[in-house]
Amino acid sequence: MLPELYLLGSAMVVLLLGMVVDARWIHRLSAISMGVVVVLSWWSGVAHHVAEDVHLFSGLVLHTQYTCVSRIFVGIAGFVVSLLFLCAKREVRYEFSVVMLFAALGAMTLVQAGHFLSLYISLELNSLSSCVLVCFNRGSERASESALKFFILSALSSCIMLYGISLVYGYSTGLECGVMREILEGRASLGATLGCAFILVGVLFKLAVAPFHMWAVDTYHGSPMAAMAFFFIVTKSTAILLLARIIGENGILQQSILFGIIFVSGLSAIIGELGALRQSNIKRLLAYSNIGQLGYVLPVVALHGTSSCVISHYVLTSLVINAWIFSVLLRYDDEGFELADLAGMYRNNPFVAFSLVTSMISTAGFPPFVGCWPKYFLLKSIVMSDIPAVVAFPYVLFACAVGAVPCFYCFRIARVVYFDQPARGAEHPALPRRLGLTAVAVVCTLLSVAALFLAQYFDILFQGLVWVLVGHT
Amino acid sequence: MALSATVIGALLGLGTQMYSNALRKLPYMRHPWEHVIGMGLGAVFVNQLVKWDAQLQQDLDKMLEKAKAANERRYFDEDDD
Repeated sequence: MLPELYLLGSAMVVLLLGMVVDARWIHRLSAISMGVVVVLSWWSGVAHHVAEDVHLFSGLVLHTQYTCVSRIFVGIAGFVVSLLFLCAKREVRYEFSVVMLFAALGAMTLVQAGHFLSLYISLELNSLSSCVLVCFNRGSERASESALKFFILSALSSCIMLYGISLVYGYSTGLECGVMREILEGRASLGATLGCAFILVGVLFKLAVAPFHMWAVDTYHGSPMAAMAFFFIVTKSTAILLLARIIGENGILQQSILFGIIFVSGLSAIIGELGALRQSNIKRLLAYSNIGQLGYVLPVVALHGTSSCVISHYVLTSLVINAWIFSVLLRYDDEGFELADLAGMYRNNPFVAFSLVTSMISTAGFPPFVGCWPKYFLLKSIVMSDIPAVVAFPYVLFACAVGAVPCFYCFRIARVVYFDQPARGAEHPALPRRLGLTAVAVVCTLLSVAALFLAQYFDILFQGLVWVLVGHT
Repeated sequence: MALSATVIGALLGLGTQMYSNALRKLPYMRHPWEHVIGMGLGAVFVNQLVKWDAQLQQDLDKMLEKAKAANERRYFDEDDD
């Protein structure tokens, strides 16, 4: 728990220091703190590796290989977001960095929670901090509207999750997350299964999976760009890793829950991709695209849980691609931009135009861009799994068909950037020079090129990565 | 132990006084005698805290011994039929 204690302490110290020190120093300190947290997480995993799972604080915290690696991934995601925010040089109050640290703390404790109580407290810490991040622009009506929507629907999902926890407790007399294994393997009563379904609904809400996605688009549209980066990079990774851990290493064997998750995944894919087609604002387009991508990863999480490294591959690739996208978007103001405003961008800002187009096409998952490999491995996992072929093959065909939809809006962006002429007298303005964001974009480009060639060896590389991160496999 | 507690307490008191000045937008070392008083109070506070923690540990050990003895009397002595 050393990294979490350090993060809590640094958040408190930064909160106090912010009253007397310039906000830019607070943003720098916050980024440094997140970096130190990543190093401490790695050191903690290596120095305290154990052969078996360890339950700390009477089972409230799990110390396993999976939770150690997840904690490091979430720490890296938090550090990347802090770095992006620092490089964007936004003129915001210092409390933004502090609240981001608290949200990251909630995320890190969430992936290690071994008990429903610690899980719920961590979830609420993350959610309420996120709500503050969304409404940080106090003068904006859109931000206030977004925060209100997010808060009300988040509270509703928390109520549903608590009800599910109470049902599970009533039917199993235990609040440890391990009781879910029995339910997900189909060896529990109907009441416990219903409770489990409610708990999964709460987690799916956080992921913005259809039909629980209503809050996501408006919330992302109204939130500051850095907050949106936090949701895309940290919150999404955390929720996927948490869901995989709740499901466990055997996957879901209870067919009613499994097919329910496959159904909502398909719904997400079609709602997300078709919804993105109609959008002209980049933030809303990305929000729908994010919802659509969940249609690929959720079935694999449900089928394989923590036993598949394909999910880690997706999380890491998604982190790189989203960092790449936001290295461009953070140069714009918080309202984002309309796609028509991109006309002629390549003349004034050629590297930014290149980054935007390639990162968007990577998001869509078209070969040979880096996003194609995770999609390929995810769909391959679905085909190779134990579910009946009459379910697996139609779903994969459906996913491939829906996967062609992003080409319309991703290549539309490329067309507007490179081929459309701006209106007379309305050239695309030169973007502010942000060396840090350019450096992040360059690093993401290099990582993407490397990932293209190394993706097929990900199994072996991931084993090596786990050995480096936690000192054993 | 006493030296480290005194040093830490003095630094804590000094930092608190400097922070108090900073909050009021005063120079950090304004009225330096207040810093000396703060260091003294901080050193006393931390030393008392260390003593209180040691006393607490002793009290806890005594309570655990009493509970263990009571459990042994209740469960082990009843076996002697």
